Amino acid sequence: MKLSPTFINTLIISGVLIINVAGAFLSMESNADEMTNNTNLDPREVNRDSVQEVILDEVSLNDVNSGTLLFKQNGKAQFLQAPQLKTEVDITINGIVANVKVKQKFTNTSNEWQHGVYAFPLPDDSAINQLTMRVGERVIIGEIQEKSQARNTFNNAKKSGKKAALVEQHRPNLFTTNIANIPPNETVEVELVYFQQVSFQQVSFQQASANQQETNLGNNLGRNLDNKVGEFSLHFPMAITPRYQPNRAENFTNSSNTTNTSRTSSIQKSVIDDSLPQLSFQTTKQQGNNQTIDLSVNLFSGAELSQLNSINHSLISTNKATGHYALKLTNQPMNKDFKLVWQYQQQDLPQVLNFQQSYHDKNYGLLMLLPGSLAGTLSGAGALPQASDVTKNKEKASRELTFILDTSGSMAGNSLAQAKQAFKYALSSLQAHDSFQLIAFNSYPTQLFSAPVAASNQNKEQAWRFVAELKATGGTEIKSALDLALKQKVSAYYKTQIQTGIQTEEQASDFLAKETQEKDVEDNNKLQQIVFLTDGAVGNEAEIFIELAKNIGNKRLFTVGLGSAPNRFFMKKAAEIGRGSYQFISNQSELVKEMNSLFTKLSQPVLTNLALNIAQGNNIANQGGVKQGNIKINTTPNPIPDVYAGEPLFLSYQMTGTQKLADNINTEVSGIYQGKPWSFSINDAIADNTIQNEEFKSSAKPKAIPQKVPAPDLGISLQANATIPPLATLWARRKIADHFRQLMLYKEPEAKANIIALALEYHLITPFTSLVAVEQKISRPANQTAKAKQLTNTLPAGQKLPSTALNWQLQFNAAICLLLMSVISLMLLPVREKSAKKS
Amino acid sequence: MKQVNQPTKARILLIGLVILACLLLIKPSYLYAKSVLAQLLLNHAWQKSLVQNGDNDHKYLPWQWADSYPVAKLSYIKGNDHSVKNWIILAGMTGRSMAFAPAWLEDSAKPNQYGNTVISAHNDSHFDVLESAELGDELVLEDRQGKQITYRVATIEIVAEQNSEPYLFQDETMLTLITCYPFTTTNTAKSQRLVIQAVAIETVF
Repeated sequence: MKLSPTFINTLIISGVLIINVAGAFLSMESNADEMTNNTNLDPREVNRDSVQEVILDEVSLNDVNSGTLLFKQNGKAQFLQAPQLKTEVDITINGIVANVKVKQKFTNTSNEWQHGVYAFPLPDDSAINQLTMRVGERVIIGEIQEKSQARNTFNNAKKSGKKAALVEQHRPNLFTTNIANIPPNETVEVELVYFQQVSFQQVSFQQASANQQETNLGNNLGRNLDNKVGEFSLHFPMAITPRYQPNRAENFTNSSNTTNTSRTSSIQKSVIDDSLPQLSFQTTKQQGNNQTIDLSVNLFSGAELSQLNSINHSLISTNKATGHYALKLTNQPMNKDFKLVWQYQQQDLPQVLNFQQSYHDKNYGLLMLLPGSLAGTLSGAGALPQASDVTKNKEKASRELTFILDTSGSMAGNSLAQAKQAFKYALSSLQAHDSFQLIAFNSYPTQLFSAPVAASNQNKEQAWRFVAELKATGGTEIKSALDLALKQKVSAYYKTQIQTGIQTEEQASDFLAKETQEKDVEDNNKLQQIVFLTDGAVGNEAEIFIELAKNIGNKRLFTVGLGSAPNRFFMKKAAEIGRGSYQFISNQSELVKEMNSLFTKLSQPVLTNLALNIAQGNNIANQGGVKQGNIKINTTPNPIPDVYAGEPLFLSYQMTGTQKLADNINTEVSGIYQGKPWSFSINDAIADNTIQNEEFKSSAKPKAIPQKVPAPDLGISLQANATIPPLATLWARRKIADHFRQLMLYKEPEAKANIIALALEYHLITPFTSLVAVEQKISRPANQTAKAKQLTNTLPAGQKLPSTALNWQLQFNAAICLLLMSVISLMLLPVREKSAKKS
Repeated sequence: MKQVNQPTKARILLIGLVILACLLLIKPSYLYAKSVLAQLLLNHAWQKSLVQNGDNDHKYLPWQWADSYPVAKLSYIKGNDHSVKNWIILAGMTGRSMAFAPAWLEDSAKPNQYGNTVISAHNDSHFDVLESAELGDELVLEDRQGKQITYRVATIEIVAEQNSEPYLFQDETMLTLITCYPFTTTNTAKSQRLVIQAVAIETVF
């Protein structure tokens, strides 16, 4: 008997197989346990014998692709889809915010009373403002109410028991609300108004630009942005295409406790509790052939667009006035989502667009600062004579880059290697007149140079050698590293806007002559950027913030968080204080790419030191809650961050007390453009319910020639009802986010009160308020409660929950198996040898 | 000659296999041992930081090269048989800290404070007991000030890993435990998470 290797292999494989099978068997057992747990159906089922007259499509809540009314079925997780009669959609877009009004009609074609759920998949970054539902004579109106503190949201969840058996593909943005007791053959009318933020992204754009290499700023970095174009898009869901799907457990958790009629509640429970997996496949036919939609869009862009397209539909677009486009879509079958895409005309110089709406005697505005294409490079526009003039005169502002790199133990391996790569790229992005510094920290910070040094090749090489040898070890002491970065030459240079501007110009004129003498001033003139990369913990945030606010001076702080650990509150807030941006990179492999784009961005500042001023006569007051007479401007974000090439800034502001003084006010945005003061006046009479649209081209010189465009005649949808203007919603949302951060950080009870006050005033759903559907004109006051949605999510999009499996067991088992078998065979070997000898 | 050679070859082969098996054993044993032994060291650091509760900012490192520090102690009390499991919780939800102990997401509420405190651990080391978790089980969280709050398990859910809902802030003092699901032994990354949420029995905020 010989022990061939194949025999041993077979042994090993079979051993592993046995273990696997045993493991699978065990896990099946535990699954079976869970399944039995879920069979506890609510015994109190009513209306069991409801038979449908009309065959309706069965869907689950996860299949809902557009606004749909669903009828509950007893003892089933699936819903029946109510036939839709008509859908009307009105969209008004102001810059980057949109108000969407949806009117839908459904019927109950069956001869039975029905309990329904209206579901609407909200697009990303949107929030319901208003909800009205009409069922016959009943009117149900959605109201924002404070969540009662006493109510325990988990009570209901407790009742639902362990619903662990099946996995839900979760739909975070599905809005649902209940409509009880829908009479047979009755029409249900739903009117929904929601606020939506337009999404913006850079898209690649093929451009035949052969004349790129010219000009003094033709470094290779600029080209990254060359063929990128900012694209705005808005998405409206209108595809009714339930997919073929296995029936699954319903994820419908109703977090409300309001009293319903006993009948309703029991039915509801039967729906909730029924999480028994049904493994049959439900086939649904394609619906929507006979359903049509009327859709109209009013787009106030504020400036001329170079492109306005609908991806899935062809529609008629009329240009009513400069910066006002009207689009219409009538009697379209509902089978494809509506997606509108538009682009602004590429301007050479920064463009400022101002939108205003008033609500409750206050003016709400949105300032869009679009960086011109000239900022980074001269792309197609370079041919214009005006542009090239500017380029010649242009003095590229030098900058000082401080890179703070986390070298704690957790950065070991790939993370640090990637960060090093990113730093190498950052070095290459520096020009000779720039300067830089590197601080590496773990338990203690280490700085490479005693002070920032010029980005000469020699210094770069030295830095690179230093970085290459960094090893990841030790703890994460963030505060000392930040302190070190902040305390490097803080200057009082940029104390006031206007003065600074004048100084800058003077310096610029005889820059070369005074170079040596005014070294200090020159340093101050630099744009100081700090890039802070960590994957670790920040403990004493509050303390760091105070330090930061005190010492940040004119420095800009950009934070980059790696992995799922970094403290997001800290990173965001710190970047806000530092007038920079924050970034979270959850996937290590994207570190180099993301960091490179950050460094590219940093090398192309367009407008810096931005401020919103109110000028009255000769007085100029700075922005940020400064009062000037009666007028007060609050901006978010505050302080105002800089504008970089390819990255427009959307600044939301609230102006109070302007009504009476409208004639005397002169509001202007000021900043520094290519090393020279720049300002732009956004004043003008602010009429009620109108949007001021202005197009403006500024030149690099301080004197700007505004091109005024008469305010378009509108008020079509804005005035129509008491809808909260989207600009006000935007402002309130940003404000709530601020308060929320405060609440998390300092546990300030006032912050919570502020959030509730804002939420009630601006009809917003927050963790403390919910949308409650209150039935009007009926004896019972409150009938149903809408599902409260939590909108605040601290996770950035695309983030995943941590990976939480060591996965040590399988290898362990296999290794033990192998060990046992080989040892046994080894022990048997002498016996075999003997028997072999004997024979 | 050949007769003698064959068993020797087999022996060499088998010895080689034994060595291979031992080598293969090293990594998994190391991973598991790390998670068990670290708790001992962590306990020590935890005791120290509890004693010095006046000095809040000082971080007691469990070992010198550690890049995290203990923030809380979590006890899991199983409802029916009252068996108790204790873990020291490390700050920072990184793979490195989770190798040693359950980790607290620093973005979430601080232990025992108003909001949602999120803690995660590996399902094949510390949080293996959560497989049998049931509604009504109790969790006791002790923070660095020595305050203890009891939480009762209110929901047990399985979600996709992209689902960020467990991280959501809640208007409540509560605890969210996250671990991988299913608990079966595999070598591949698991795309589902078991999420257990527990609510404080006494109100704090």
